Amino acid sequence: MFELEFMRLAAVAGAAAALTLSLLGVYVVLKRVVFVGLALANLATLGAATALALHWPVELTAMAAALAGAAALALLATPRRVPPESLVGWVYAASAALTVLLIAGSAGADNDAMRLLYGNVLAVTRGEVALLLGVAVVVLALHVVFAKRFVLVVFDPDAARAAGIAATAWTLLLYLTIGGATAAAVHETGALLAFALITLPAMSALLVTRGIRATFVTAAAIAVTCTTAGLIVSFMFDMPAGPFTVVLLAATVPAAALADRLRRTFSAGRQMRDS
Amino acid sequence: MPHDHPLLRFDAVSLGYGEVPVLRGLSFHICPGEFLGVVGPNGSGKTTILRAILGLLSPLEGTISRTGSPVIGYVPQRETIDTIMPVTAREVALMGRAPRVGALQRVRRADRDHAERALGLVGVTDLAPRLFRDLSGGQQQRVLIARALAGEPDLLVLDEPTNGMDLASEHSIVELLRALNRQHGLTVLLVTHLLPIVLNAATSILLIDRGRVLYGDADDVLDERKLTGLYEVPVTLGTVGGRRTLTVGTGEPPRV
Repeated sequence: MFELEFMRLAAVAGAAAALTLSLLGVYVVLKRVVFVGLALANLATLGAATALALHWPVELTAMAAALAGAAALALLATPRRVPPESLVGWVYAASAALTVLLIAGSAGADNDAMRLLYGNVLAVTRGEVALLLGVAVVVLALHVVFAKRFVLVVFDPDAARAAGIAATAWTLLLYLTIGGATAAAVHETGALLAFALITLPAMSALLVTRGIRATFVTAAAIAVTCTTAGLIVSFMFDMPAGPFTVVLLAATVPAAALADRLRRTFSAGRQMRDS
Repeated sequence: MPHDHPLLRFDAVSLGYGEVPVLRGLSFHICPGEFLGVVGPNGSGKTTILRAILGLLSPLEGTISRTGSPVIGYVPQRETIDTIMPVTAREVALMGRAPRVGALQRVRRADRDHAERALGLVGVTDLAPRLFRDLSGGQQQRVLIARALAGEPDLLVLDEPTNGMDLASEHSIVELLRALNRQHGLTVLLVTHLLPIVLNAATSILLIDRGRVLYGDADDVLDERKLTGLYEVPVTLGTVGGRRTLTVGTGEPPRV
């Protein structure tokens, strides 16, 4: 099937999105802000819907919307009477509703809605693959070079501030990379798969690993494997690739929980035998 | 009390948020080798003072001066750290080197050695490969102190380091800090809501209660008359085995 160009492009686009979003997803899950991923994916979708309605460049508008949202979520403080998560909920609800209203008025409303919500990785163009790869290279380079800083500000932002490290600026950069990576992926993967790639591989990896490096590597491996497998199997059985990949990613979570339970049971049994 | 070259000095400082002062006219200082206990009930403004010491809050009035930009090693309240991240005690200690390792620099052998030495100093070398989240409260606190020490601080600042600990762990942490101060000459500033925590460790004490402040050498502040006046309950000080003890109340059963 990979003799077909659209399948090769889809495989590269899927792997690039999976790698980038799953690595960033580890921070998202550790910061307990998983709905930031959903809100940013929907903001990027709103940007794309706006671009379609106004005949603006789709990728650029989606990117601008996601980056603006990422900056706002990183920097805006909510009033003390409401928790910060409520702002994320507001962004999600408002952007999802506005997206539906914008595409409802277009001629091919149903097709546009399906494409924006679920994506169509099989229809990805060379230009879109180039954009995805470019964003992936920039985001991954930033996260490899500055890994120490990102880990510190996620683990203990107060101590980072006390040590003279600009924790707010690093948090902003973290959110901007999440926003940029989500916006680059959402037009090809759809909001649902983008959100699943941010959340589910990190969840599974945290269940089966016992170290921060191993968590990043495992999350990336799960994401790339499931995305590639989802593409191949959905092609063979003529199913939509995005939702099928989400189902595969979702299945890794109970599998990881079971593996963790088995490991603990064997470990406890070995300790009892040794004592 | 030595006044010559304080690492940190508050002169008639008012602190607050927005334009509303929480504390007014606060004056104290900490000199090299001192152990300052900052004691006050919840809501008395201890955290506000701490934020000002760390440079995260500017005074509304007065001046905060530092001699020679002292490096501050900060140990936050253990409960404020989310232990979900799978990092080892060694990795946590190494985070203490962050101010000395530029964002673009790699961690060097010397940085790892500093982190290892700090873990050794607080007696948790054997815990280095274990995940931080798997450690007991007392062990986690020691690792956080090691992280602060790894940065080679001039001043160690601790926020409620014994919160939520049993009596033995509490005693062990206070004795560790006392040893770091007395044997290694480390300057320590400890914030707590419990006076007994610093009773035998602090060389100077800053007491805050309902806007009133009592500050001076420990021998000076730990005076029955002054403490009774501040807390408005009878306070009795004693000595058992060469260590200060503190009793609150008259000793008679309460009237119901």
